[in-house]
Amino acid sequence: MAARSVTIFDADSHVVEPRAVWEKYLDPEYRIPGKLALWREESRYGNYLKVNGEVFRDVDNINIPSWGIWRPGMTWDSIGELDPGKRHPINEAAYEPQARLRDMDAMGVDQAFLYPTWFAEGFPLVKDPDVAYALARAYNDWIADFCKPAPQRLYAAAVLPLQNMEFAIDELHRVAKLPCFRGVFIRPAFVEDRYLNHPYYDPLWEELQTLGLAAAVHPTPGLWNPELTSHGQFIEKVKARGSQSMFFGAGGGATAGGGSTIFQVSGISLGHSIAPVLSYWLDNYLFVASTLLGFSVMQRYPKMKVVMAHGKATWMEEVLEKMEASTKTIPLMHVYPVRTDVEEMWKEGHAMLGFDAEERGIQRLPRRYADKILWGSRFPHQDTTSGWDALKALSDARVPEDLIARMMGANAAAQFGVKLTRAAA
Amino acid sequence: MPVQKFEPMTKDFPTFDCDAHVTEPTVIWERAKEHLTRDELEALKQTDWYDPDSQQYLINGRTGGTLLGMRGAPRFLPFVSLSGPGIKHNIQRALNARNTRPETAVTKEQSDYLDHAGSYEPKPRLRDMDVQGIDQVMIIPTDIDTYPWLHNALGARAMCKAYNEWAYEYTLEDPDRLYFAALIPMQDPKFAIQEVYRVAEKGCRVALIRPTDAMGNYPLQPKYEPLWSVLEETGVVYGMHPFPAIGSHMPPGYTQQYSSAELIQRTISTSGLPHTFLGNMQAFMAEASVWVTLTLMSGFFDRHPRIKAAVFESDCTWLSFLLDECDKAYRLHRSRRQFPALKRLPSEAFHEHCFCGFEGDESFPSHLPDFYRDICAWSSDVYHHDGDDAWRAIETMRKCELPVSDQAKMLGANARRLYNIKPPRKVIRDRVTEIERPDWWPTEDEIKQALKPDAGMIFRQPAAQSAK
Repeated sequence: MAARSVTIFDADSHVVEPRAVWEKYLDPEYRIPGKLALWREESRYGNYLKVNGEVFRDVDNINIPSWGIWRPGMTWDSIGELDPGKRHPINEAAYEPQARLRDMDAMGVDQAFLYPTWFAEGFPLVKDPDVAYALARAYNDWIADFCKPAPQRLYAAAVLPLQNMEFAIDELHRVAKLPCFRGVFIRPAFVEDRYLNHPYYDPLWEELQTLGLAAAVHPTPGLWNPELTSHGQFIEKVKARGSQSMFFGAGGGATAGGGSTIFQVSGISLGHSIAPVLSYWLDNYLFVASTLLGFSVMQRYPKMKVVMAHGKATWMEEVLEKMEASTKTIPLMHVYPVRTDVEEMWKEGHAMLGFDAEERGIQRLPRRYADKILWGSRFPHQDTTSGWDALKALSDARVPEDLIARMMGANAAAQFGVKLTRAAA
Repeated sequence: MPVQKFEPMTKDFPTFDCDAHVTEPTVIWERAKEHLTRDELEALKQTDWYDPDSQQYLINGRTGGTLLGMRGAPRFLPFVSLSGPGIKHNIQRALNARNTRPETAVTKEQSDYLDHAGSYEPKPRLRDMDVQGIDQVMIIPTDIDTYPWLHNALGARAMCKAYNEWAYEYTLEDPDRLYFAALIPMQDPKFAIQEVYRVAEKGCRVALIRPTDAMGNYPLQPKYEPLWSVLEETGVVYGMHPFPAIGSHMPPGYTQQYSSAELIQRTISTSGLPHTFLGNMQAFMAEASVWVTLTLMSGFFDRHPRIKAAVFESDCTWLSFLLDECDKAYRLHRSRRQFPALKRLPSEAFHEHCFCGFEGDESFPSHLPDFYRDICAWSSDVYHHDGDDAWRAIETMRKCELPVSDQAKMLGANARRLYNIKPPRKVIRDRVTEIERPDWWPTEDEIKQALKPDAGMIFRQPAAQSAK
């Protein structure tokens, strides 16, 4: 194994929730309603996520579990060569802490901040607040146990039952006393037809600012969600438009495009989802534009720490430029004071963006981004990069070592309020 | 009389503004009968019509406001015909701040002054271009959120013909400097094909298509394949122009999401609080990035190897990582892919076939010239509110120390290469440094005050606080 001088904090790593969350950690009285409200089923002939009793089936090939397939040594090309007709298991490090620590060692990762997978995709949409509260406690208790074997290496985002802000604040105060929780998971999505810029969420921002815990914003593909929850579903819908074949009548009238006014047969589909290419960064962009900047949460809660994971960082430049123009040239009508010196506001704020070491904008302008980004592996998603890969990409791009140290570890440790610690060899 | 002053600047290359707007004037409808058959005219009246008696627009037979009706009124800045010479963003902020209070709001006279006739008449446009450092321009219509919702395909065809004829005549004022992008009736691929052939004969270089799923017509459906073949045959560029998802003309009861730009609008509409400027953010690039990704990943450019495409008005910073993401997705899913294998990586296809617009305040093309040098084409977005002149773009590029040869490419040569257009005979070299303004022009002090955070507030308690 090569030597490295940089201590690496993986600010975007995942667990995949095992059945034990429901069958062991969930209060017995909530096990039946809990499984109805949120449940992940993976079987030989099909996978689905159940949310509020509604079944959302996997759209991708079920034999290659993209959310948990990666293991140290795998490359994007080697995953692209896997036999889709044969079942490939998910990496047990996704749910077993000792295996996780071994993989972290192999990846050159000293410390990690853990996000959920199915709780990220489905939990925010659970409708019943009481059941959501029970599920949140179960997940938080399970992930706290997951982190216990290595309390200096494993940290987690807590899940809050935002379905009822009273419950959410209570659970926030409970988890704030547990050392592994250094942030709370927030999905940038529409829930109950409102977004995070809604005043409903103001008490959450207030409490996070007071407690010093990070708002850990992490989007998901949205493949198992209804339309208009986040960007993912629409992307898949219009992707499917490309698969439709007209049996006859190639023209059609004004409403013939995706409708059924003439006979259609379904054609061959692309074969995989497209939403993951776009939805992560579009969702994060939406959160920054609408909530942090547009509705001025960043100004109103200036000490709140925010981390936006898994969604690139380069686009921030564009948000600031667009914001600068928009606040000046659009007729003014808003209830909060909004700064027009957006560049300064961003510098002063405590928000950080997850980045990929391959982002050419980061490689070219490292000094511009160095204080505002933190690295994440996406482990064990299929597009994971190891710490070694990231270091090499940044070194090859001649990013100065002091900046690499901040991007790859120091920024995350500071944002999550933990001591940056090198793992024992 | 106040005089607005600008720093002296010079340039020695011709610019090409690949995306600037006109505001469709009522003369389009007044003269429609000159270009349409009787059936087409009748269909147009039922589909998209301006009624001079009531001075109202009728869309799909219903009375409906459009962006085009928004001009010449007190307490209103004509934001689609606003950004003429020198109407910088800070000036607009000051005027917008005036409009938050009835006692200081702009008058009709002031609103008329700010409604630039160049947005619908060619002579004043050419004068404005001289001041704005714009040597050549591709004009693009404004009411882009209306056309995909026109129900009647024949009426949509009639609208496109009427607009395209008017736009063509507009460019005849100076064919060396003015070019038009054609509206295409995507409601019916047969009509779309006929219109492409028709405008190609008039020298049109680009066909405009909005990447939305309005009426289920996302422009990647197999039914449009013959249209793309005609674009290849004629050499007309596939011009992809996004827009905010206002959806004013969605049919009653239509609940399906039609645009990825809808979500940013929904954050406002579901907040329970008034807000305006947010709708201008993310919308364009949300629509554009979805189209770019789906087009590249589906093998569109393998099926149409001679087609050229241009992505307008959506900035281009995101492109620097999106193409890499597409390459990664292709590599990861090779064995799972059911469409034919791509002949080259998505990023390679983009570089071979596509151009992306960018605006003058966007710095990434200048920071990453190796990536953007041959695929970027500058646009002013004039006369829409956030438009700006070529001098602004040059300022940004000089600040980033972009070599002049790259400036010349991104600001003009790339677009001319895309459209196969020759440089103009005469090049604008010196910036106009003074413009006389009326007495009511914002002072420096007023602008400074207007830039303060609370200048745009309307005073209302947020719902959560008032409920306490």
